[in-house]
Amino acid sequence: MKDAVDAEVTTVIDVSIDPEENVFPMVPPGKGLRNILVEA
Amino acid sequence: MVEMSGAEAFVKALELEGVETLFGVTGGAVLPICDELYGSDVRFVMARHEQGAAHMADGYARASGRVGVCMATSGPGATNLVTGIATANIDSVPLVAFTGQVPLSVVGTDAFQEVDIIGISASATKYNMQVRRPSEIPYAVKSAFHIASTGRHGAVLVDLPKDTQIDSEEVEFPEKVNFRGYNPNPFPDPREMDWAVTLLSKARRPVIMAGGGVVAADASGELVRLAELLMAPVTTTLMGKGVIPSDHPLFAGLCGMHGTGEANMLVSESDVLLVVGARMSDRTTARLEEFSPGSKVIHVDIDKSEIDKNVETVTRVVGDAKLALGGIFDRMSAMRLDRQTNGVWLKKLQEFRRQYAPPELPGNPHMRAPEVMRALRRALPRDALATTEVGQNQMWAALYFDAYAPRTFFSSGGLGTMGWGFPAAIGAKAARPDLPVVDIAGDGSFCMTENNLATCVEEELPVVVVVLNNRVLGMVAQWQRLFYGRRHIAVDLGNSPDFVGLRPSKTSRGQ
Repeated sequence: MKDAVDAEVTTVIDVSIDPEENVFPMVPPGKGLRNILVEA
Repeated sequence: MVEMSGAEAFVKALELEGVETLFGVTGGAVLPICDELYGSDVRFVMARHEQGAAHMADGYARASGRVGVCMATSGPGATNLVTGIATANIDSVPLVAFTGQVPLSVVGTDAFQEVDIIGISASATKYNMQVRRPSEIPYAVKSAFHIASTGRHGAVLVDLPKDTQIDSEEVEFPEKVNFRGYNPNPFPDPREMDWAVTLLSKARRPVIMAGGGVVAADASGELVRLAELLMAPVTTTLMGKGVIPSDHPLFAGLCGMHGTGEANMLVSESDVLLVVGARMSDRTTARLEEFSPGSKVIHVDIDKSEIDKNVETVTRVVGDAKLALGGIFDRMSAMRLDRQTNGVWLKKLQEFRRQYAPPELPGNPHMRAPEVMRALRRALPRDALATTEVGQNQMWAALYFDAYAPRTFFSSGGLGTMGWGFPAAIGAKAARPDLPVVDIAGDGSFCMTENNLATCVEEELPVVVVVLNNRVLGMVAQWQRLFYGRRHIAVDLGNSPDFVGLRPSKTSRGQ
């Protein structure tokens, strides 16, 4: 990444991540702000 | 008064507004304007699709604080701009879009490449207008820039029939414009600031929520000063990210559906909530009936129509955020309050942070997205610019990619436009060629506007795209996993192009 930034050339970096990975924390739709999920 | 063609008047009017860069795609109904741009000092950055041009102008505006300008031809050119116009408008970004139109003599006849773009864009713009004579063009251009960049900023569209570009007339260039009924007043009412101060001075558990209005008003200095005086934790909306440095001890992170636990809990338990330049959308408040139930809400906003729209306030300060926060700070510092008693409340910030930290998962063998975000942050200087796409990549960036200054982190907040981040990064690079620009992307979003890679190369606007590639439309898949019994449908992107192989020329590369 640092190399790409320093090179001043348009660069696409493909980072493979897990298709099952979720973003947390999450408040489920329809719930109040206190209902914080931190894992599935 | 001087006689000239509408196209000539148009380009002169742009130059008078100080426009240096215009993002667009050409076409039949803007040929006279393009011919005038030939040889002018205005740089024409050619996008590969009009949606990209609008997002580039949007990114340019967000990074520079100036009005972003885009242009397209009539018909499909104009309709392709609409997503970009709506994206900028809902995020209160000053953007002016110019569209070519068929000649007035055939307007309404379903002529080739004719659409009623005034009708189509009416609800996606702050204002729109169609020019009817060449002599109206200087006033229309001046008006568009004035409306886009005053009061609550927004998008303005000006439709230019081809004959108004070709024909010549006596024109004059106004120094200012006036609209009856449009007189934005940035100055807050002193009494409203007094009431806000009365509430804040009695607060035991104050929280500040800062939105994009703080960025627009260049008020982050005033915001941080006030937070430090009140010893109040600060949460931001997605649009407000960067108004307080992510490593500031009072910063609690993003609030909302994908907010941090500490931000959501502090907002929920606050007794006075000072909301500045934020519209309290559904993604920020979550279930409205449970939003900050015990607090008195003070709402500072330049747009009076936002007050009490979603959340009922106890008092409001209508006006420019910089002036309002400055006025509140001056009044409060004159009171010489003792804020040492706030230690118990501030300890909650740490407690909630520990309590609601998502577990760190080991690599499996993929890197975990939060880890990618932190590694990217470490590879960049503090003042680097970052855009995001929309979906999981956006929320990982919002949560785990730190921002240290306003106008360094950009995201499509309101409209949630996938494909926004890459062209917006190109626009940001045009505005700030001195800074590195990174687009934090997902594979789904990047596929929507990747055609603009060619623009990066030929316009020498190098950006780095980091594709968090999970081979699915990740946020939809997450909802299907969590709330629809893992019934995954229409999310598999396993057959996307090889991103590393996407090389428009030898001057771009993949890794």
